[in-house]
Amino acid sequence: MTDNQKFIIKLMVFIGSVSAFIYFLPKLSSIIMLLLLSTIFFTIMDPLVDKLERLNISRGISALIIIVLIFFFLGLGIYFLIPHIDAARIGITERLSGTSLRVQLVEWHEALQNHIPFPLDDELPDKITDIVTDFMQHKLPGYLLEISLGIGSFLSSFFMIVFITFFMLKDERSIKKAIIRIVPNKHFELSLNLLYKIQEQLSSYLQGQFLAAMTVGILSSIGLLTINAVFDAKISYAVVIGVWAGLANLIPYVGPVAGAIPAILIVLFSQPDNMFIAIIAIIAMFMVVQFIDNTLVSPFVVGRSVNMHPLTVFLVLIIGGNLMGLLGMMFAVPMAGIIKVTVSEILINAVKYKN
Amino acid sequence: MSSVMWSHIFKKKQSEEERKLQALQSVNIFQGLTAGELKEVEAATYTRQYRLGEYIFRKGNPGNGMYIILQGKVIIFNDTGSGMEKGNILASVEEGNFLGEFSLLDEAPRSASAYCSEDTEAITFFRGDLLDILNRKPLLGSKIILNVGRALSERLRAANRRLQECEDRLEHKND
Repeated sequence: MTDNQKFIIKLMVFIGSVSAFIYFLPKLSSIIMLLLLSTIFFTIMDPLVDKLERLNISRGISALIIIVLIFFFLGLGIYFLIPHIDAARIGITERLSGTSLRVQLVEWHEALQNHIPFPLDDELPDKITDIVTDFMQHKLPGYLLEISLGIGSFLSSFFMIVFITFFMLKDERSIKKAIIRIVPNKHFELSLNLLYKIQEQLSSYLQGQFLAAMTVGILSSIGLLTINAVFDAKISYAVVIGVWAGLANLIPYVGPVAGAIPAILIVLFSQPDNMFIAIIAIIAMFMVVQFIDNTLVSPFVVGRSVNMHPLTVFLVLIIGGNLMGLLGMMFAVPMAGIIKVTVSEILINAVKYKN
Repeated sequence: MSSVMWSHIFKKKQSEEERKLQALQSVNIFQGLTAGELKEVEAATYTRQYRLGEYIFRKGNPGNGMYIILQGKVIIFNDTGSGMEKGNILASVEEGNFLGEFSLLDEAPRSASAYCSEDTEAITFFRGDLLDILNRKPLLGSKIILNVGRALSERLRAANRRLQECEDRLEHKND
């Protein structure tokens, strides 16, 4: 076979593989997503299972104990948060309902008009009220239906993730051996080295993200409760907002702002006596939490190698949002982190093993 | 009938495992380990089959771990790019022997190439596996590290002895 023929065959195989990948990708996307999410949980739980194994408990039992404990506390947290989230939803819907919103907007309109030299549109409060009411009455029920349908599949996905994560934890070595077995001898050392390096990098990155999110969540909750106590700011659902701030922290650049917005909105609507001071305190508190995270937590727990350009984060968020909505946006950056770590390790090692 | 079939399958698996355990036992860095600890090491290793003419590793590649030869023969030679010649052969490693144990400690590039002069079967034990063992079973990991250190000091002592002999010979010549 001539070199040209070999090249044409290789090209055809490449084009065929790419076409098949593009064809099957939409069908496989949910499975890929489940595997990626399971990998995230596996990476976070693996060191804990290792620690239990050190106490001479078998790997399987250790994995089972950690899975049950983590998902039990996760479930418990969700169970306690759901009434708060529901109360928050009802409260916000009531505040945004036609009359009270119009009264509120007219008040703001008058206050704003007194402070600016040019005239504002008198119909502005009515126009905004119409838009919001239309959204609440016609569009929101549709979104909520979509979300609740999503929760149905979320529950089945959740059990599948638990199942896959357990076997990843229990049979980690066998899985690694099965992957390595299919690698030709020529690339054996490179592949094994790559697998170790990727696992090491991912482990530090994801555990770091998890720790940073937890720190931000706890500090924000404490901060909001303190602001409530000191300034009587009437920030309801402080813990829910704290948890949200922790989760939002997974998204660089956008997260810190997204965490502060609900707290500010609640203060704006509940209008405590010292509203202005309360808002300043909330902004200052979130800035302090971000400062603590950026200087004392993240540099030590999140690998610097996964730093991303703001434009990359923006694109990744759009793709995540398009694929899986809000959940997709939450996990888009960690997943992009996984891909970035994998690709950079492949490139670094490919150079080392060039000969 | 079926029990005979199962006993054959398990017998094969068991004998393979025993063969690997025996090979591991003969390696200096695994000496002094209990049967259970050896099994733990065995679970962390990979078995590879190489054909005549294949390279296990090439000079200059990052060293990531050691190889224990279960079967076959491997030639270690100083690869200068012109292939294997009589003058650049450094050693020949056969069944029961091992190579590359010090690369468990660092990622220094391989100083020579390993070429299979026969069909070869080898067990590999890599630095990542050692770190994994250290993480899961610190006592076992420490024993292995201590043994690697001991092997290294023996090698250093031997090198010093040879150096001393060379110096003595040189002095003797000058006298």
